[in-house]
Amino acid sequence: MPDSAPILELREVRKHYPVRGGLLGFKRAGAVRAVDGVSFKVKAGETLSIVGESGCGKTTTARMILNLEAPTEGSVHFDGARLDTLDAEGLRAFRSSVQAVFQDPWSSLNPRLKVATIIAEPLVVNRAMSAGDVKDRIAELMVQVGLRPEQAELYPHQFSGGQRQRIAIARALSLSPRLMVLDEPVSALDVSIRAQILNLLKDLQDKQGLSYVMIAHHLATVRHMSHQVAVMYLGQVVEMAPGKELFRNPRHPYTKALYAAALSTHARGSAFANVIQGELPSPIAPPSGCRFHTRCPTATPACAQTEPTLIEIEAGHMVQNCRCVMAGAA
Amino acid sequence: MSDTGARVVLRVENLTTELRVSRGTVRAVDNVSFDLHAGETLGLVGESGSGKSLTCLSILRLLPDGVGRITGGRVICDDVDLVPLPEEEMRSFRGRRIAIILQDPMTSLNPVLSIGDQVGEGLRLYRSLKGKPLREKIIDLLRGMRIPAPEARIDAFPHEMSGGMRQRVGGAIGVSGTPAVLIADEPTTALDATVQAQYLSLLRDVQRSQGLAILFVTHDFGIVANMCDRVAVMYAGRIVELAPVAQLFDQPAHPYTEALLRSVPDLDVDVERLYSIEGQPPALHALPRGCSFAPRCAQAHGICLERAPPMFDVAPGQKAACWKHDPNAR
Repeated sequence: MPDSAPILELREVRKHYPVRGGLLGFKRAGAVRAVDGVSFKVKAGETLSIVGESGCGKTTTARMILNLEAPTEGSVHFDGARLDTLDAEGLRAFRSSVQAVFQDPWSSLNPRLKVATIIAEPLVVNRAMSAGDVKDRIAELMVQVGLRPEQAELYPHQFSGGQRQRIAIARALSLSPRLMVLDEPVSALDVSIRAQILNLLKDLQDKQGLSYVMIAHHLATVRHMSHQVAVMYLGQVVEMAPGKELFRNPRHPYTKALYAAALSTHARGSAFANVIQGELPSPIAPPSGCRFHTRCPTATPACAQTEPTLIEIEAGHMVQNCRCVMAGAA
Repeated sequence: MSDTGARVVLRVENLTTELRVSRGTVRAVDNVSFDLHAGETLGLVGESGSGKSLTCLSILRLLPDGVGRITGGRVICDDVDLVPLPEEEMRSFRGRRIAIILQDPMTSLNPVLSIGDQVGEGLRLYRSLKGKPLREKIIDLLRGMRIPAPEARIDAFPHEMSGGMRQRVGGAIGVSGTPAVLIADEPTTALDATVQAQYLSLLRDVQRSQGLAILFVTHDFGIVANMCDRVAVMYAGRIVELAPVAQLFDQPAHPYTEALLRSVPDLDVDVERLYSIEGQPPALHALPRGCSFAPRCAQAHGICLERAPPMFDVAPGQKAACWKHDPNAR
């Protein structure tokens, strides 16, 4: 693929939520540094996945991409335009172009609406279409996601989890978006259904040139779906590389720890050897220096001193230049 | 681990449980049989609705009153059949011979009781411990689950602890009665990957030091590969395959197991497209006439649609409910 302009770009994005203290809650006691300097690009037709544990900032990052939150610092650019400079017209176009699919198809679909109404809602709000055209478009979308058009008159409870996720995907596709944010799109589904939905998402990407930003914790799924993977820890990207490269050659100790914890079906009984100890520190007062040093098996006192930055260690492979990464590279 | 020498600590024979639903009754657990040996981990794998959790609740006779009822079979522990036992006598088995760790540590602990009160409940009731000896025993149990600063944590409340720590408290409650059998019903689904790995490795150490038999309910084959000695695969209320863990991955005997394993993306292997099982698990009130998996099975033929297959021996320690293993058919 030629080196095309990115469809999405994040530049040094930060999101800090104030923590109020004092008797009446007026005093500013600190900030939750949910996202703390994240930059990446997503090319047209490609998938970038964000992995990391709860509290690492992946959901806040997704919310900023969807323009549901404004960054405290830094900027989000879609198709070359900064989101916070868009006028009303530009915002309308943006909302059509960027859609989301959420984890739980039981709570993301209104149980009182028929499937036809759910899928048509974005069309009715955003496009002046005749009733007949809307009906045709619903039928077309349902076929695209593997449902039968005559099921449009049913309610969500009459569908299984996998079919509900297909309905959610059809709704997201209705305005022909160019970017979709997928937040754990299969983790609420039964194991035997997940492959169906992952294949559907890949087919849609191939046919329509869609870009995805996917949040997921199942590393094997991430590897299968992604062109790029960003590993986040306490609000920062600690490593970013093409999916296969990242898992073949993880450089950051946290990426290695995540990989070790992923319990491959090939490593029978032998896992847990490299399990890291401790839990995620508070994002209100993240550790100084390398943020992972409190749990890192190779940390030294020096790791608490210098704050590492993301550098390109090999073509396309970015990693925070913490001491142990550089020692391994030497 | 060999399953030939070790003592059988729990024998489940033709266990059948029916649930009352709006459409009448459904057989949620259908003729389930397995042995559990001292010191081994048996994985119980299946999708939602396959009956794995109800099998656990049936063993402990914790089915919701008026909704679920054991209609057949035996559950034998210490040469006693638990199924017809009066409730009074059943209580001496719960917690002391067979204990359970529940899925969600956020909801399974009582928010208004201290950690010490909850871990100590069984010790007070069954061992009549009180005062200083009770407190010391509780601290021992917390230390055994590697909870940091157990002397301080004993007086803490659940909301003061992280999810991983709460699940360790659940484990401490589970082993407080020194049971022979521990039922772990998806104990790590609410935990992050690195915390999950810590918990599983801890559970395995505790198992080794106490010779516990664990019935581990999960739908994650990564956990199965790394935790279990043998595996029972459930589909639509029945066990369809029972096998040593290596045999299950290398030579699955039931088409459902085979398809499920092929449909899960792998951490170390590339595939262009995932194998996907078409359709979805059947509703229990509308099970097909023959084999429950036949409508989704690529290998199904005549007899599969007519009669449900019994368990056939496939290899030493491996059985599968599939007509292709019928010795008379060859």
